[in-house]
Amino acid sequence: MTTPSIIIKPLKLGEPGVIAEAREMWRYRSLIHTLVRRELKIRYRNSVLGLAWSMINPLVQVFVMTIALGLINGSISRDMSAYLLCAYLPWNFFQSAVLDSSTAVLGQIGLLKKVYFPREIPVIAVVCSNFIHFLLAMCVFVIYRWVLTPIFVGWPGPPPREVFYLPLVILVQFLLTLGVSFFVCAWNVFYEDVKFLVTMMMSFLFWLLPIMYFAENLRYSVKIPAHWQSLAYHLYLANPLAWVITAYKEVLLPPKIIANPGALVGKTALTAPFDIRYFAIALVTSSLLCLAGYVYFNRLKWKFTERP
Amino acid sequence: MPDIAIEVTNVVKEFRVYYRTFGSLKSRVTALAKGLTRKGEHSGFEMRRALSGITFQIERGESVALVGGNGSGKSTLLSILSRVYLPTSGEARIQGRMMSLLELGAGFHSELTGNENVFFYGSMLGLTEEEVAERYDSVLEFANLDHQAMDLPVRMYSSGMQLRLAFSMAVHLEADVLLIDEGLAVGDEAFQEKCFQKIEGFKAQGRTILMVTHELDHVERLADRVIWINKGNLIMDGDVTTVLKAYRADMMKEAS
Repeated sequence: MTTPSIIIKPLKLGEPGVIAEAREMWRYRSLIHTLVRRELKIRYRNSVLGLAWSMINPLVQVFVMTIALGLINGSISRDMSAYLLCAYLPWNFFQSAVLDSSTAVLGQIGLLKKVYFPREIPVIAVVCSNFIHFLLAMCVFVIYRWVLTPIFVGWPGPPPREVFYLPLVILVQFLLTLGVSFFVCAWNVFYEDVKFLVTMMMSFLFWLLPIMYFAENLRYSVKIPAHWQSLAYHLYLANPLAWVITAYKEVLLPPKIIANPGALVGKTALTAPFDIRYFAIALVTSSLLCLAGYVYFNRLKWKFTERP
Repeated sequence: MPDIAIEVTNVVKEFRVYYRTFGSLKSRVTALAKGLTRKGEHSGFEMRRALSGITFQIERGESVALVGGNGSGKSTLLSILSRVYLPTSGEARIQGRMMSLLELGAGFHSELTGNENVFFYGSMLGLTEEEVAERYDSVLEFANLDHQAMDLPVRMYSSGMQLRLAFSMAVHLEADVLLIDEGLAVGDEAFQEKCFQKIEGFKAQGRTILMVTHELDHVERLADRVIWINKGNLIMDGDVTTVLKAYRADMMKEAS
């Protein structure tokens, strides 16, 4: 008779390896499932509108942003809110997943001191439940763009042919978000300042990412010397998160005409279409980041219950 | 060759005890600065041994109780066996499916219904949803709860109901090795009696039990063997009457 046997001993560096860790995590997949379901149920348990809040929140945000942009620019192109919404929703997923995962382990530390389960499970569950909220919000985007706009404004046209890349863009963002979440979660167990630091950094990041503007605005910026503009643009998009935000706009919406690029009054420029080379860069970097985050998390996870 | 279920070999556990709470970056920086200016005075933490080399073996089907005063390290040992901590050195080996009942109902969420909690609790202990569903009815029956109660959030349960549900979950896991920490004194007399019978049933089925408790009456009823730990050292390991006699005498001496 073969019975499973557990050997408990101090781990050396690199033990038991990523594959063994991942296999152990897979064994507990039903826990991820129940945790995600639990989170979805609890978040809106005692609210009347329930899950609808996941959709109302970004809509209101984007509404305010559209108004604000209109006030700043004096005029606003008719479909700007679609571009804003399309960039804001993935950003919102990234932000809330990372912020939530900062407390994913710490909030459960009492439980972790009582019961064994792979310590990465709470982080993965938090990212997954935020991912589900994101998918719901994306449905709202689709309704906004291809149901409400045709009724009230007029047919906006189908999405570009690159829409088939959408699942891959989502995959890249998921890996990226998970990787960052692993780091943030592990650090926050030992230094609770990390949560506040990350919250603060999120407001920087919001303006650093092409949400309220386009990556191409950078390309034509008068602040950058002409021969550096192209390099700055490429470096900017080499940041996988900046690319992801741009890519959502590229695969869901047609290229946008930017008025007065580089302060050239009367001229216009067009945003670039989906470029597979940036996708390759982002896929590689975010996979590596996710793997690095997982390995790093695993190195620290046995110390979680012994935190000072 | 005897069939060993739990083998603990020279397990040492050291904890860092911090002079200050090391909760934030600032305190770390200030502590570092102080360490630079007043070198050698103290380095922020010291190592404290909770277990200093424990060795014992438990055969399959044995029911063993760990006794010891407060802070003797018995809960630390049980935590190491249930993989909450890793030992500093030494090795422990557990043959068969292990289930640990460290504090009943620890994973219950008060906003969720009893039903949802059962599935959550089960998957936290490593069961699949089908496995939980198979046990669902007998869990309910054992805990004396009806389907109506299971649809209510757990915050509406009395504490006794919660404990009954948790214990009932725990005993239906069909583990080969059970680790129990102070989990026996639950519910009213009738339910306690039911728990004892269940544990005696486990013994009869040849499962291995390792429990920690301060209730020596429970030890006398359920254990075949007692291990006495004090200040991280194994003091005595033997049959119930001998060890308990020595342990009681020591406790009396300490009290006086």
